Amino acid sequence: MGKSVIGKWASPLAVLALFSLGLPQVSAAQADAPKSAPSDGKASPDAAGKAVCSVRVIHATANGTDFDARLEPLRPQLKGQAFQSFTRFALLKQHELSIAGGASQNFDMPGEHQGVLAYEGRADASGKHRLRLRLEIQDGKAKLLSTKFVINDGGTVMQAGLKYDKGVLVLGITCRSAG
Amino acid sequence: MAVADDKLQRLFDNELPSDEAEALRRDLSDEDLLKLEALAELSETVRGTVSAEAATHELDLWSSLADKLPQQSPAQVIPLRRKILRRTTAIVSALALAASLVFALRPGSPGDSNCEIEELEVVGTGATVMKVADERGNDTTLIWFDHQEEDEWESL
Repeated sequence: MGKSVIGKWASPLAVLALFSLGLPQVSAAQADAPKSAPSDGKASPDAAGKAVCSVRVIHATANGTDFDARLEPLRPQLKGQAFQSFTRFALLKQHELSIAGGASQNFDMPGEHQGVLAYEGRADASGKHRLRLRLEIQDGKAKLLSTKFVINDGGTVMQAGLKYDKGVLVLGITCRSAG
Repeated sequence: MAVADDKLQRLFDNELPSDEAEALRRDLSDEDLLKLEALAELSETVRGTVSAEAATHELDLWSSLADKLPQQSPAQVIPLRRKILRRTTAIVSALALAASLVFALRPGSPGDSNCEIEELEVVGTGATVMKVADERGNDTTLIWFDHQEEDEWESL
């Protein structure tokens, strides 16, 4: 009696499956490897090109159940556990910023707040295009928050918690390199 | 009139057509009946002798046939449970392989932001950095800054 074809290939298939299942983890681990770019965040404008960022300013409240259709790309995050206290999400403003390397751009936020997004250059690692940015939230001359972060090209980072009109403000910042 | 012996023998062996046999039985003489009785006894004797002879000689057909069959290696017998397990493993493995390939090669992949917070300063009591999953199951970093009203007049 001969071995069935499936049975004959069972072991190699299992090895292949395990190997390929490990690929995303491997690539994620590589992305976390030490960066080859300088850590001072001062890439030259020529080397950095520019970053094109979309900044969504969202108002989250517990009054109502409306979900702004323009926020569909962020629905999984906004409907997740982190925002379980809120049931209504409205897009107040969407800023499209084009920021040169080493430069920054301001964007308006409700409640007399102002956001500042700076593009500090590329921070590529392990063949992945990554961008280093700095976000500041100001209230007049007072600086409330300042953070520097690195994300994959096309990645998104969110900020939330500023009290506004019986709810909170949420920022969804998505950036990709251009030029 | 006595029946011919060959016809009597055919009657005994039930070889005659039923109507002919029935007619013949009606015409049997005493002598014919005795002959039939003798045939029955002879038949019984022969049957008993042959059976006794066959019992003393056990017939073994397999040993003579086995030598004439072509030589073959013994068949590999796989228990049914192991066979099912192998097939299940293979199918699950194939599905896992396909799923992982779809996951790894899907358009727009990798969609993970892999955000690293290098610096974070806030006024007030602090901030929380957490991960929230997007539609693909990738993590999106969320900086939760629990801003209080009294922080309005503070600055970093």
